[in-house]
Amino acid sequence: MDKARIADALGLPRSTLTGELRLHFDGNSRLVIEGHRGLQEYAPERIRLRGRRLCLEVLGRELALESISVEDMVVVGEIDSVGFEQG
Amino acid sequence: MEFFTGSVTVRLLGKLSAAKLTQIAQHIPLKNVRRTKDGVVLELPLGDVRALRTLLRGQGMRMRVLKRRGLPFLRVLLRRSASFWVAATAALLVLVYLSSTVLEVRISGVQNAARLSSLQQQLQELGVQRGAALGSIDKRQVEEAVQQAHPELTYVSLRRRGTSLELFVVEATDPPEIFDRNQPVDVVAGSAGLIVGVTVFSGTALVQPGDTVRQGQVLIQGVDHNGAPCHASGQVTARLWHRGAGQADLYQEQRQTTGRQFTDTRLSVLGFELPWFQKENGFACYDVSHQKGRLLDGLFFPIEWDKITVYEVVSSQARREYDEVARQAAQRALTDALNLIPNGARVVDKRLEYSKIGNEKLLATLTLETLAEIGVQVEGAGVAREE
Repeated sequence: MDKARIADALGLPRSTLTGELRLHFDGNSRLVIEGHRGLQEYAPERIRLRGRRLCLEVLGRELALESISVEDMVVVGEIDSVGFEQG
Repeated sequence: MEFFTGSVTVRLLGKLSAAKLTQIAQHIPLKNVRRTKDGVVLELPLGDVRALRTLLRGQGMRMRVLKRRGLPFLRVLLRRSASFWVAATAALLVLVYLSSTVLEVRISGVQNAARLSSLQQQLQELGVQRGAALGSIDKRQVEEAVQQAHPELTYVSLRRRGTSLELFVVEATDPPEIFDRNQPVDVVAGSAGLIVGVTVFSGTALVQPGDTVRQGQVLIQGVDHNGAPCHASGQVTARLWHRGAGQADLYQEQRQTTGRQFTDTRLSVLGFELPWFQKENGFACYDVSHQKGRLLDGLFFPIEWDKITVYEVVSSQARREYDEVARQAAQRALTDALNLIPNGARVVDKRLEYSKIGNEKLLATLTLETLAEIGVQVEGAGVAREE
C-alpha cells in the first residue's frame, strides 16, 4: 500500500506522509508553504522553490519572504499566480 | 518572547543566491526577507548573528546591521544612563507613596448639613483624612464607629476607589409622631384660616364655623366635660388662602456666536488649578462650555482635566411676546403657590393678578383658596399655645 492510500485510510492529509508541498493562502497577499526543499530563485517578481517531486513557482509583485526556516516559508506580497513544474 | 531574546535587521551586501539563502535558512530562522537593489534585507534572532557571519565567510558578502530590537539592547541603553534610573526610581517611589495615601475623602448620601459636618469631624477623629495611609484604615471599624455614633443612619459603607475614600450613607426616614390614646393632647391649628366645620370626637371645642384662627391656636382642648385632661380628637376644616408669586422678564438677551472660538485644557490637582499653559481670553463677550474628566479615572492621582471651549458672542436685548411672558410668570406663581398648600387640601377658588416691576419684569400673583383639615394634635392638654 502506498503512502497516499495509507494517509487516506487514516484520514490524514496526504502531504503528511508523502512529504509533498502543502500550501495555505490568505487571499492573494500571503502564502504559507510547508514541506519545501529550498529556494531555487528569489526575486521581487518571482519565487521558485523545490518540493519533493514538484517545483513551485510564485509570480507577483513586491514578493518577500515573511519568514523562512527548514520546515516552512511564508511568501507575502501581491501574488498573481502559482504554478507547478516537474522537478 | 522575541522581545526578551532580541532581534536584529541586517542588510547583506553582495550577491546572495537562492541556494545560499536556503542554506542560511536551514540553520537560522529568518524573517521579513526582502531583496533590494544592492542585496537582501532580513531579520534574525540576536543569538544567530554570529552563526550568520560564519555562514557568510568567504562568500564575498558584507553584513550591515540596520536595526536592533528587544530587551538586551534596551538594557545596554539604560545601563549607560544613570540619570534615567534615578528619575525612574524617584517616580516609582512617588507613585508608591501616592497610591498608598488617601488623597480625597468624600461623603455622599447626606442631606442634612449639620449631619454632614458631624460625619466629617468624626472621620477626621478616626484618621480618615487626606494624607492618611490607606493601609492603616480599618474599613469595618470605621463603618461600625460611624453607625454607632449616628443611629439615624440605616446604612454606612466606606468605599475605596483608587486613592479616594467615599463614605456612603443612607439616612433613616423618621416615623410620624404617634401619641398614646390615653395621653392628654390638644388639637391646634396647623395654619391660619377661616373655620367652616368642627367635628369633636373627644375634648372641648373652642372654635366654631365662621371663626378665624391663627396658626397654633387651640381648636379642641384636651379637657372632658368633667374638667379632667383627656386625649382631644376631632376634625376641623378651614378655608385657607395661599399666595404664590412668579416673575418673568419682558426682555430677553439674545446671544449670537461670531464664529470665533478657542479651546484650552486645564489641569487641577485636589481642586487646585495648575496655572501653566492657560490661554488668555481676549473676547469681551463670550460663552464657555466645559468637558471634564479624570486622568486614569482618578486611579492613582486625583488629577482632573477640563477642556474648555470659549465662543465669542454678541449680545442684544429683544422684547418678548407679552402672552408668553404672562404665561411664564403665571406658571411660576402657580408652582410657588402649590408648594404652600398642605397635603389633602382641595382648591376651591383662585385669583390671578399681574403687575409690572419697572419696565423689565412682569409679576404674577396667584391666590389659591383651599379647604383643608387644619387640626394637629400636640402634647399637653388644657394649655393653650400660640406660635
